[in-house]
Amino acid sequence: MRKEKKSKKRKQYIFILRELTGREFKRKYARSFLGIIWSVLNPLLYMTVMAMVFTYIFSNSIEKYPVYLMCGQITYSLFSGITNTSMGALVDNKNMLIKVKFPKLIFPLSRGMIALVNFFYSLIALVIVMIFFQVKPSFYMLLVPIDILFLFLFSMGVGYILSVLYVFFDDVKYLYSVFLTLLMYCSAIFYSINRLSPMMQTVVATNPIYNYVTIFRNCMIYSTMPSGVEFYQMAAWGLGMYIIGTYVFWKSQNNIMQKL
Amino acid sequence: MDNLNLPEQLMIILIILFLIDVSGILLYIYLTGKKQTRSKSEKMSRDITGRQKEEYEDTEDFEDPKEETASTEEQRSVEKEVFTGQSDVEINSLLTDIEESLWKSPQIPVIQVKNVTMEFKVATIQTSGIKELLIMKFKRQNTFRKLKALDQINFTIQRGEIVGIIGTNGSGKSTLLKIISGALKPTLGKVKVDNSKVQLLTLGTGFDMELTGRENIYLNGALIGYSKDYIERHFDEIVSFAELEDFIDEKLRNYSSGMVSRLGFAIATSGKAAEILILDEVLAVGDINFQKKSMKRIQEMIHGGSTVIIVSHSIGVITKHCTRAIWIEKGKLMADGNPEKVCEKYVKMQNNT
Repeated sequence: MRKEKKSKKRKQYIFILRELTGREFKRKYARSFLGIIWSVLNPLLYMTVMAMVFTYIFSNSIEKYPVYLMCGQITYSLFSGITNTSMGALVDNKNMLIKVKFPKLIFPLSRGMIALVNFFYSLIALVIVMIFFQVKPSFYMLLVPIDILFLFLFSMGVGYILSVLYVFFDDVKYLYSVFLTLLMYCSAIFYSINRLSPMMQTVVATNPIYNYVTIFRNCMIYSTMPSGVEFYQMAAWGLGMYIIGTYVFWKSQNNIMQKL
Repeated sequence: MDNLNLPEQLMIILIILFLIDVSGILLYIYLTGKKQTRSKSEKMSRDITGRQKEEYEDTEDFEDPKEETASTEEQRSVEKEVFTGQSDVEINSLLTDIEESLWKSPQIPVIQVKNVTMEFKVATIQTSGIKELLIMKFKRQNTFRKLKALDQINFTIQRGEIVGIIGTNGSGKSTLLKIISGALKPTLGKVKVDNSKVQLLTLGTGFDMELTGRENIYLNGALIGYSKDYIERHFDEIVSFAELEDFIDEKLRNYSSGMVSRLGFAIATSGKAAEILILDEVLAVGDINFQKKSMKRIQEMIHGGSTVIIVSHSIGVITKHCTRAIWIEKGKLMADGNPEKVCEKYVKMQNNT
């Protein structure tokens, strides 16, 4: 009986999540002509521009540079996409919050799901580019989902905290966009970490996003196993951030309702 | 460890510290979570007695009407009459029936509001920026003043009552409803109510203006707690009750406010899902025809064992339909009881000021 009830509850949870995700999806592409195809086109175009800039204007020595760049770019944009959109999840859905008897986490979560779907479409673009540059497929690619899972958890954790903060301070939006830019430059997306001074190398290596990007690249392009440290770091940041985020969210739920 | 350089060693130390941190937090959450669930179950077992206990075990959070056990076969047959019978006379006779059955049936409290006080912190100086807030904190200025939205409210609502809540704007009615529905926690006091059974219906909440009516039924239904199956089965019924057949694939943005509230009402009252229905100024928007129709639906629900709370500024609605009225003024409970008497007092006060 109790078990049945629980499974029913879970089913309902998934149903709500799907409805919310579907809704965000429809809203996002309601007015664009190409719709979801933009998710594939956008990283391709971005990659083309960046590859041109960095091969003709600045010289670089990374082989298969477009693939290198794109791996970094789509992983980073998964993070930025999730955190940026889930930040507004509570404020934008003000009038729905009273209705829900479920954990209000589903609102940021549904936004996060959109970014994840977006990421999967971007993967199509990546595969195209990889075929074009003849990157050999390997078994290590099977590790990629794990990397993405932990990155997703990490980003959701950050997203929860941001969504709570955004309820109380509008400034967060602007601060965070600056922070995101900083983070992008510290994640070695379009350069190789070896070109930096040792001091900067440590700074970049501490950056969790860089860690996720590196594992992604290692699996995708270089067919190498992530090192132990990298692996633990990935799991610890992902789980840790998610738990902290959820905790902060739970704690401030009542305050949020009062404020809104 | 020998082949690692200094930054890597540092990193490992950091990770270990981090892990200890995380496990500490995990432990904390685990412990506090356990405490909460225990106290909750205790509370529930204290609340529920006899028939109600049976009911609690049997009803699911997202129940199908099929599984409804509260109403007996006898009641079912009466309900059928409600569906077929249209004239006012029959409804009136039904109403007296209801009153009689209420008289006979044991009183079961479904909502108990005990000493509820709600305080809001109102910023005397508007700060929505971090900088200002920090400066204020630094200067130790008192930026908040406390506003009592509700002050020691006490009442108990029995099953099958139609309770009207009146009061001037900003007197705390909506706050009270939010507390009852579980969206807000009171600063002091307790509300005993099964949250999963409450449905709060306010104007325009739970809808997405950019989506069509059809999509909104699914979205809103999901938020309220209906399963997909349930919505599919009741879809036509909802649409026809809301009289929106021609507009269902239209975006909600193009609906009139009356149409939106009709849709909201239709979704919330479809089937017999809501045991406690709270209507916040919803009826006022619909036209007279719809008001009649929705009142009839409410009577049916009452007959099926539901409880309804209506918030309205229209004294007519309250004296006509409610079995009891509660008047709240500036957060204080002014009167509670017979709707006509309460409304009389209310009007007198309004005229005096």
